[in-house]
Amino acid sequence: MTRWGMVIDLKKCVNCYACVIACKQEHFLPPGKFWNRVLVSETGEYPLVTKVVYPVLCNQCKEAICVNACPSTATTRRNDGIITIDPDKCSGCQYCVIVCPYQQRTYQDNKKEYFPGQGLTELEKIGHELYPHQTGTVTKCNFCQERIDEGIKRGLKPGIDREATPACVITCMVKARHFGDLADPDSNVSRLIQKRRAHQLHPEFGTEPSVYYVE
Amino acid sequence: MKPYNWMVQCTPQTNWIERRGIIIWLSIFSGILGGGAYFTSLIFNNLGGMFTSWLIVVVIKCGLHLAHAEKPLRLWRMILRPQTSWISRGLILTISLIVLGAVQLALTTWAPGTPVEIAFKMLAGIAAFGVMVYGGFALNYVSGIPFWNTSIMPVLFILWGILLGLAMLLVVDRGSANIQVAVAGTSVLTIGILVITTLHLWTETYKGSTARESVKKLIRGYIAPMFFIGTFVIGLVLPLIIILICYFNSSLPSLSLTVVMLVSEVLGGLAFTYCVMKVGLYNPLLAVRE
Repeated sequence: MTRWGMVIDLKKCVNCYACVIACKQEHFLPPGKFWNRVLVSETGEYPLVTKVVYPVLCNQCKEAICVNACPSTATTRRNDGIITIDPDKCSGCQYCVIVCPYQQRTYQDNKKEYFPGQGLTELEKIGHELYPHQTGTVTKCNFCQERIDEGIKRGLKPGIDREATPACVITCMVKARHFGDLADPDSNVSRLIQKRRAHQLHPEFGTEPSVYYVE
Repeated sequence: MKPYNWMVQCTPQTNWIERRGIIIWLSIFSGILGGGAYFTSLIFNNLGGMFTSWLIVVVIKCGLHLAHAEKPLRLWRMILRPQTSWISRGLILTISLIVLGAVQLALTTWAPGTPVEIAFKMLAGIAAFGVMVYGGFALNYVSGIPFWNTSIMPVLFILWGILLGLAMLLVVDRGSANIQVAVAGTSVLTIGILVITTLHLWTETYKGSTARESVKKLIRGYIAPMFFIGTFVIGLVLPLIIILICYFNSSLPSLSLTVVMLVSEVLGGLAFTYCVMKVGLYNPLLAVRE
């Protein structure tokens, strides 16, 4: 069975935030809401300081705590491993936001405009129709499931064909992000994980994230 | 917190304690108070206490949940995953307490001592116990926040619930012989909470840097006055002093003193739950500043 996953090459990432913007654009995310973030930090002391850059997104965990915690069955795990939230079922209790150890869920508290007081731009209006993020519900990265589903319908292969691959992956100009089927040992991501000894964030929680990092 | 520190250092949870999250804190506390008071009133067979605590659950707890919900018409959906979700279990227990409690209150009023009444008392007691404790389990389930992720959390919720229940009984059940048991119970529970809270803080300091940071925030941060004055002095030490003074005078606390005890314990419980919610820190996502 397919299990979509991502491998992020930290050596290649140049901290350009293109993935963050691509994600916001793809899903018409309102101001202040991010499904995809780039965390930047420093380690060590002068003169031996190293800059640490980690792009983070929902880990689409195999053993997702959020799925178990969601009382209203709005959060579910699809057969392909993507964790989705049905906005029509979400009651907005935010327990999933609390239990996610990776802090990757966002509560949609109100719909702000990008230009306060000037109304919605044409693009925002289109976005509200295409991607009506309901207020009072929780949202998060869904590996661009629409692109994947639509691509598969058209006979395309996610991770190989651009149209069927998440926006952040195809936007990355240094090709630091790789997308593919973790269940297939010959896929690009599985080979990278084996070859480069990839690691996940906080494996001690036993959530088995589908996002891996290589250094 | 500066943006570049977010998720790189310990990050406080805000969803359940800031802005609208304040309502969640109050509803968790009203669950401890209402469930604990109902459970204690059942043990002491005090109808007034049962009714008062049932009202607390129906009016305050349910009212707060409704106030928090931006989509109240979807609240019913929250009972759909009791097999894994503590929030789902909590809601089912709350509804059970409301329904079973109403039937049991009617039976206790009009048909006391009948087998049906005893059966409903047992069922309502289980529901009340669940309402009192489920918040502790809901916090305990959060593995990303080490300060909450401990089995002591539900224990503390039970102790606070019964303590608050006893404080209410001391006010409403003055005429009966139960008052001496309630006074003795209060002193034991107060000392128990003091000891277990101290042990919890001590053990958390050995659990890792995030848990240690939570403890630091609690005992040295801006929340410390609320924790020491609110929880310890007002909520625990003051009632204990009142009980000790009465014990050495060989008398039972007067009505006014029991009211003072109830108010101070309610304030203490509020401060305790607030502090616990406020110092919930997530482990850093990147362990680069350990």
